[in-house]
Amino acid sequence: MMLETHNLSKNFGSIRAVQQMNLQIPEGSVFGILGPNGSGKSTTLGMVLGVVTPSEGSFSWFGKGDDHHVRREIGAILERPIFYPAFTAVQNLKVTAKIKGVGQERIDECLKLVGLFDRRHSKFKTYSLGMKQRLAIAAAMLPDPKVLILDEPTNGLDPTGIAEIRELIKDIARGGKTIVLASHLLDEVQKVCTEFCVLRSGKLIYQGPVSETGESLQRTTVDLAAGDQALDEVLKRIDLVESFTKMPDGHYRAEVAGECTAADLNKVLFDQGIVLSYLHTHRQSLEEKFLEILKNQA
Amino acid sequence: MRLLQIELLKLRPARYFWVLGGLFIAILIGIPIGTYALGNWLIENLFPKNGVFQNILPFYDFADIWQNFTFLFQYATILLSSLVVINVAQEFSLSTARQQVIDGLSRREFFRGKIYLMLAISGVITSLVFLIGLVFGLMYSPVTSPAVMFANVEFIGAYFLHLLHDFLLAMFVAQLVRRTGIAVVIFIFYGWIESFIGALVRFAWQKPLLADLLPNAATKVLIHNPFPKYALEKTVTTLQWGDLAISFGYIIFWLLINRWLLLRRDL
Repeated sequence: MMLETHNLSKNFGSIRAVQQMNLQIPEGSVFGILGPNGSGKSTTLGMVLGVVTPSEGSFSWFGKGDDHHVRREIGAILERPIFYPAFTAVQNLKVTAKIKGVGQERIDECLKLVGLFDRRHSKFKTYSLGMKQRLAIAAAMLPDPKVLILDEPTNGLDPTGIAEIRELIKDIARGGKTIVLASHLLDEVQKVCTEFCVLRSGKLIYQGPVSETGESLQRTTVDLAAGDQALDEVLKRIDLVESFTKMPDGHYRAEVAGECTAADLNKVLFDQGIVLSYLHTHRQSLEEKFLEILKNQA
Repeated sequence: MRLLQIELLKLRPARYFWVLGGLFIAILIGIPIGTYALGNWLIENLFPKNGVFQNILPFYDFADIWQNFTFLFQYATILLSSLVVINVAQEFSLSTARQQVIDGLSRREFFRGKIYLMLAISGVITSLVFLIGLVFGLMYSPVTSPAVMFANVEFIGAYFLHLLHDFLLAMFVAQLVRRTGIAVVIFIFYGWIESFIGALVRFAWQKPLLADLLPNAATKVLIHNPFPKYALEKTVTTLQWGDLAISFGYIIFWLLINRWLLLRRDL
C-alpha cells in the first residue's frame, strides 16, 4: 500500500473536519478524492503531508510510518501554488531542489516539461494563474516523484488553463506515476482516475474503482419526443422501457434496460407506428453517481 | 550545513535582506566615523584652541573601545531584528513554511534552519564588529600593545549574545503574529512598550532589579552604558556574571518557546 490511514481525525475546535478516516491508496493507481468544498479533502492531505497535526489516528507512507524523508520523494501541491512572489522561477525551484535533495540540473528539465523554460527568469508574481500552477507541477516533478499529489489543480483556471493542466496530468499519468487527485469536479476525476473515494463532512463514504461505477452501476436514460403524438400509451406497452416520466417541455425521459440501445428502442417504436422527432441517449456519469451517493448518505 | 544552505537560498534573492543588512552595516561603519566628526566639531566649537577629539576623550582607546562600540551598536540591532521578523513571518504569511514541510523538510529541520541562520548572522556581524573595533582602534588608539588591545574584548561576545537574544525574540513575535507587516510593527512597538514599562517599574515602583529582568533590558544590561565614566561617574565597565546568567536564561527560554510553537501549531 502506498498510503494507509488509521482512524485519522482532525478537530478544529468543535468542528470535526475529518473523522475516523481509514483510507488505503494502492501504488500505481490514479486515485481520485472527491468531495464538495469543505468535506475534509485538504485537511486529510494536510495531515498525511505533515502540515496539519492530527487530533487522533495515524498514517503510513509505503509502510514506513510518518517519516519526513518519504515526503522528499513525493510531489505535492495543496490548494494553491506557493512560492516566494519576488523570486524568479529558477530561484524558487533552487529552494525546492535543495530541500528535496535533487541536483540543480533537474530544474531546467522540469521547467521545460511544463513549458516555462522561456520565462524561467521572470518573477513568480508576474505569472498568470495557469503559469503558477504549472510552476507548482514543475516543483512537484523535481525529484522524479513516486507519487504526485494534486489538490484542486484546476481551481480558478480559465478553460485553456484547465485543458493545459489536464493534458499535463494525463502525460504524467501515462509515465506510470501514482497520482492522487483531490477535486470537487467529477468529470476531472472520471477522465483521469482509475480509482476514487468520496468524502463528505469529514467522513469516507465510498471507495471503489471508476470503471465499476461506469459499468455495473450504470443505467441508460433516453430522452425522446415524437411531435404531437402521445407516447404514454406506447411506452407503457414496451418491455424495453422500465420507467418513464414526462418532462415539462413535452419530452419523455425513459429508463431502459441495460443492454438496450437507441437503435433498438427506435425500431420497436417505429414498429408501433411512432416516428420519433427527437432521440437522445445519455449514460449516467460519475457526477450523477456521486450526487446519488451524497443523497443516500444525507 | 544543508539547512543553512536552504536558508541562504531563501535569503539571497530577497530585497529586504540587502536593504536592511546594507543599512545596518552602513550604520556600523557610520557610527565610529560620525562620532569622530561630531566629537571634533563639538570640541572645536567648545574649546577652539584644543587639539583633536581622540586626544581628549578616549572613545577609540583600546580596552574602552569594545564597550563603547558595542554599546552604541546595540541601538542599530532593531534593523537586523526586523530582518529576522520579516524572514520568519513571511514563511507563514506566504505559507512557504507549509510548502517546505510538504516538500520534505521536517518541522524540526525548519526550526533548526532558522536557528542556524540566526547563529550565522550573529556570528558574521559579531566578527565584523570586532574588525571595525580593531581597525578604528589601530587608527586612533594611543596604546596598541596586545595586552591592552584585547582587554575587555569579552564585550564582543556579549554583543553576540545580545544579537542572538533579539533575533529569538523577533522569531517569537513573527511566529505568534504570522503577518509580516503587523509582526514588524508589533516588534518595534514592543521595544517602546518595554522601555515604557521598564521606566515605570524602575522609577515609579522603585524596583530597578525587576526592570532589568524585562527581555530587552536583560540583554542590553549586558553591555552597560560606558559613557558616564567620562564625566567621572561610577560605571560598570566589565561583564557581570549575573547579567550573563539572565541573558542565557532568556536565550534558552525563547529557544524552547519558539520550538514548542513551531512543532505544535498547524502550518
